[in-house]
Amino acid sequence: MRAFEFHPAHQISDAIRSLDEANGNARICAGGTDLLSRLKDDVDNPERLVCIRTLPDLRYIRNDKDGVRIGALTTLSTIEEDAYVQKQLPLLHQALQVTAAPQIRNQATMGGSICQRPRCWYLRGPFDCLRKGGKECFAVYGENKYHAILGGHLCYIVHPSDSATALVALNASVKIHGSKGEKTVPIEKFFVGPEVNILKENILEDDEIITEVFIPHPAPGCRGAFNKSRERQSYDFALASAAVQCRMSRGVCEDVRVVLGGVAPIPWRSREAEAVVRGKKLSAATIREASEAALRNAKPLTQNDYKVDLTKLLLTKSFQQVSI
Amino acid sequence: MPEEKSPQSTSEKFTLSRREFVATVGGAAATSAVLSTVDLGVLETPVFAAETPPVDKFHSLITLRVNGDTHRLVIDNRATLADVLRTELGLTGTKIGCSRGECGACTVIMDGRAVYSCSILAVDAQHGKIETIEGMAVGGRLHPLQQAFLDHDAMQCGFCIPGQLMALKAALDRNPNLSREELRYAISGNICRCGCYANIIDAAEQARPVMKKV
Amino acid sequence: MVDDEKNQKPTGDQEYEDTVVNIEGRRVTVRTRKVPPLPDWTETEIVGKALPRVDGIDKITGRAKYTYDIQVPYMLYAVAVRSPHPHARVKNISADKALAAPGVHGVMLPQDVASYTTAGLPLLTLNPKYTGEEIAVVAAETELQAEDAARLVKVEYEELPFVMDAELSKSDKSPVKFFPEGNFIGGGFGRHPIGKPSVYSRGDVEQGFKDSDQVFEETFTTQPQQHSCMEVHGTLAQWDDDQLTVWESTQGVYGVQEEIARVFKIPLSSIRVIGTHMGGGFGSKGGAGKQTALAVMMAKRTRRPVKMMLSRHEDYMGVYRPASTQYFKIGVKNDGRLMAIQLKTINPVGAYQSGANWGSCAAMTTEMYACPNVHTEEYAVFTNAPTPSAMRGPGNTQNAWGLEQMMDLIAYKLNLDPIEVRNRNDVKVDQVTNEPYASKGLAECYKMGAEKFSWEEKRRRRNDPAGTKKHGVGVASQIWGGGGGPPATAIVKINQDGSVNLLTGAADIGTGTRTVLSQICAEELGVPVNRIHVTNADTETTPYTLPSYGSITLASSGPAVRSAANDAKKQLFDLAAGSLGVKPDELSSKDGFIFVTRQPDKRMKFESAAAGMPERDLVGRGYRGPNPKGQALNAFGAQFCEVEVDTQTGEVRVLKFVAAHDSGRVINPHTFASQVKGGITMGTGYALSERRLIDGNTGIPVAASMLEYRPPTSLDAPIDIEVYSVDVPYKANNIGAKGVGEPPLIATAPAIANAVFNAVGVRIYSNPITPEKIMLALRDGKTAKQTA
Repeated sequence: MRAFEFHPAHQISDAIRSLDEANGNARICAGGTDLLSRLKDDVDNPERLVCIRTLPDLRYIRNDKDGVRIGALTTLSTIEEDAYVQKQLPLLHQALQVTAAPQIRNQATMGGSICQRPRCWYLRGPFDCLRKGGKECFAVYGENKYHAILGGHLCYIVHPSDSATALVALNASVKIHGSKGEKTVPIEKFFVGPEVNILKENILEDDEIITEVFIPHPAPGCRGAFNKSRERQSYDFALASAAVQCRMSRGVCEDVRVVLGGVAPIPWRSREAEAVVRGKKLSAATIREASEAALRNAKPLTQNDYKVDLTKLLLTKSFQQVSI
Repeated sequence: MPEEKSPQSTSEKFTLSRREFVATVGGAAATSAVLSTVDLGVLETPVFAAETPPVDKFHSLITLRVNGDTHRLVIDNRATLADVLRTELGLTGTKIGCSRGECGACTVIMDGRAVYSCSILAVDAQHGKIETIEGMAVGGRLHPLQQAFLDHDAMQCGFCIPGQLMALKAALDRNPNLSREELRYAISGNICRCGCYANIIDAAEQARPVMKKV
Repeated sequence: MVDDEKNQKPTGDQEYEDTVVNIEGRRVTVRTRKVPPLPDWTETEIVGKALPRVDGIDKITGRAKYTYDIQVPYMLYAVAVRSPHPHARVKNISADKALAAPGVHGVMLPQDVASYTTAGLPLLTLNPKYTGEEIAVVAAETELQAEDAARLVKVEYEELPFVMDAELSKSDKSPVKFFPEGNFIGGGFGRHPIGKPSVYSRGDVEQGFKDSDQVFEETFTTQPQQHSCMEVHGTLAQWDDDQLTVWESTQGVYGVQEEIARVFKIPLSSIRVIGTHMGGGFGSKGGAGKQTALAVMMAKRTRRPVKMMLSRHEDYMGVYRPASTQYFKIGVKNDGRLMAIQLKTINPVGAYQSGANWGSCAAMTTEMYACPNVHTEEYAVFTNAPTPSAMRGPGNTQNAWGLEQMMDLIAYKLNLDPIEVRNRNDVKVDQVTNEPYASKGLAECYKMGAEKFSWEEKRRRRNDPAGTKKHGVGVASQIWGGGGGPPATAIVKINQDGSVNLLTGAADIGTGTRTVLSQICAEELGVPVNRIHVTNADTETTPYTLPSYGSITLASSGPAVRSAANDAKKQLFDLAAGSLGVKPDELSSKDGFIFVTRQPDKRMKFESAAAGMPERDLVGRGYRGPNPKGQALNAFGAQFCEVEVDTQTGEVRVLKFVAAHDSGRVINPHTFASQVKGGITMGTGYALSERRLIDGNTGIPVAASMLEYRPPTSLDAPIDIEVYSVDVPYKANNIGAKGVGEPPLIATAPAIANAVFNAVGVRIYSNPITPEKIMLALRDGKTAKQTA
């Protein structure tokens, strides 16, 4: 870990100014769990940390007429334990329950969770890889068991965040504050694949911070399910995960969002699968067809074709759970 | 067990003789919930190898609240809470096993929640009320969880044990009705390489009703 | 360490004799003094009780000080500069900037330590042969300053070709030549010529295969396993003039002391090594590490105490259990009797010759089951990887993965109960040495384990064909040394108030050594265990013993402690006899009283006798005597497990384990059970999740963290574990106990693999059994089914 200045921010504007001043050489420290690991591994060397733990009023879960608003500094365990989340957003609750370890959920924040960097061991190790501005992706011919089967483009990271996968399925949006003001972005637009930017996983600029995540109230009849597979039953990132949020009416799927995690550089929305089930009853055949559709364009690397079957299976499970 | 009083214990730190202790703990009733007394004594004076650094842009003057005490000290911004507890405050009961928030040996309680102290900067831990293993036996009495760990041999090398105790204490303080499976979940962020999980869960089940009463 | 030269020193034949000690599968002959026999314990008061650990309070209050926790005034922190390449030549190295950095007190470069090696490895090198090999060391006032300065050591490398794949390295296409004679050597201890495998043979395997009804050939592979001790490797070294004190997280303080003396040519009396509390070893802390020697040197150079703890990342670039490939060919009769076994093993052992000691795993195959014709051939292959070390049950743990699955496979093919096949191949004699086992309770382990597990009933259960969660059961067996032996010395000092100091060199690596030795001492003296204060693992205050490895500690130091306590007791009886008006040999002691054996009400308090000691204290000495001649000393066990396999996701849950072990007398049921549960936990990781991985294209470790290596969490390891001792009497030492440190790990992984096969009908030949392997096996298994 290299020396850095530590700037505690007491207002959002302080934080933004401090970030702006540093010209890309500052990092936001919220829960800090992911950040500190990267600093210790010497794969990130900012000159300044802008501490936002000190910001007032960013720890909340508020219900209003449109939906639920989660302050960016709210910890994952607070969200996991929230009664509204448990009842109305089971998909998010399920995702948080299988995220990392209890201590991490106590420390990690909503904002930090969706901004965490990928776990690719080449990115996190002493490899001069594309995502660090280097010339090659070491995963392509290397150890790529945990890498992307969808949406890879020169770089084959997978997005590590279970909550991000859930939030895309829930059609959430992200409120961002920056030097240029405040904006709200649909979370799907927040994440960007390597074909757009090979250095970052999202659109957050150097002088911007996330202040809130908004999740619209699910329409009546909505059901959600999240399934994740991993190699250890705790503290493991997804080999693959599948989130389905579905509005059912008389057994027919009226509207649906299907998102896959652990298989692509961003939470992977499968419009192909959605198109198959929309307007149909969730019969076994339809579910099978949708799962096939979701993975039709999968391009496994040398060691991860198992993810194709696994993802289909998890997606099938999630569909089955919302159809009951 | 013999009846006569044992000689002065060779360890001055015990106010309870080992004999009583064995009688309480090691007898047939392994589920005994009687709390042993133990005088933790005065903490060793920490050793400051380096001179206190100046407060420049890479250092900060911080205030930490640990086990009810307030400490003011100057630290390198990079120092984690675990580093400062151990090196500056001499509270070496908190261990560091990986320094990446991946093993749980550094678990302490901050504002009632179990956290990885290796993954919080000390300068960022000032707002919190911190409890460490050294603060667990209040007034010289073992905490019910500590007692239960003894009774169930929930330790081998012992290096992960302070973290396991902190994780369980935080979880049971919040909800003393945790099921066996939930207790298992509560320590799922704490690696025990010696493999004491079964005994730790058994111990936590013993402590659970006692903690509820206390 | 025991070496041949010492054993050849002439000693009086009356008092001394040669005896064989089995350490980590290696039989060492040592000369040892004869010790007067003690009567077997019949009824015990303290031995056999589930007492709490004597250091339990220290551990649960955080008061126990590990090496990592020790801080001394003016201490510096040392950090290594490591090679970023798997094979390179250092062209240029400059430490100027590092030396000028804040807080820095010293930098050591390869030329500063060129004349030193430890365990056959250079301390620092200009020719790194694996990623992470030490190039330089920096010491500074704080850990952060040392890390900062380490980055300022400028090293220019010329990268060289490297080889990571053992088969490639062994072939003539290898891009690296480690030795002119070849890139492999015979695995295991002993002197082997380079370029030749080590071979063991008995009978005639070709004839054996001809005589067989069926012959099975399978290949198994095991991944490297990393010890992942919770306390990483580390040393604190402090010089006071010419006296050196070293705190070391070690399994053996004497081994560390001897190595320091050897490396630096200083007298043993000048070196004090302390290792009282240590956070796990599992074989990786058997002796001095490179960091030991480097810390000692740096402390000398800087005239400051120096602490050098490895980081977890560095730990994962260090020692490990080597991988193996095991080519099995086994011929059997239709009734299950083994007729011939042929086994070839390939064991990648890193870049240095000393790694070959651990590049062997066939021993279990040569002795576990009765078989007249056996041929094994072992290759320890050099690659550009770190050097392995012993790890809990070295060799047998790898071999059991293959052998115990072969036995299971044979049972299924012959339509026999896997236990029946094993029982039909039971053998009472060590087939390698032709010595009978001093005791062997393996049949009892099968019987007790099967009964407690409801083996037959569970085997009869059928899974719902439509269900996706399949249950399965499996069994596996183990054999290990664990008989212990000399040298081990103990001192028991009775103080005038009747309190007792027990001094033993043995390390307590989490096994409960301090506790069980206290119990043995208390039992022999007839006093409560709280009278005993044990001091251990300190070369200045405790007597010599071998390190805590090879499951030898209890069976080595335990008998020495009993002898020492007996010696002290006899001296006290001499004093008490006068007061009680009888002869000393008419006395006994129990519950803190010394009494006339035939007249128990004629008694006095132990401390009253002690109060009369003219010298104010007395000292009893005890030595570990020889092992009985012509007997094989081994521990046995069988483990039964139940798993649930998700046929869709391939996830395996271990639901239950029943372990029955033959370890002779159990001194403390708590610590005994903890060892077994711990072995099963570690074995579950070996079976299901642990994977140490070096990127083949770059030679750089990629799974070098707790997260990526994946030791089992509380949700992965089984928590329903029943542990039984079969209590077969064992007379080979005066406490009747065998070791149980390593045995519980050996059978675990194959038991799980066998249960997985039982559940879903596919056999997984390589560990870990990760979800994708089961998924792929089930998918492909439809065409190439492995079931009988």
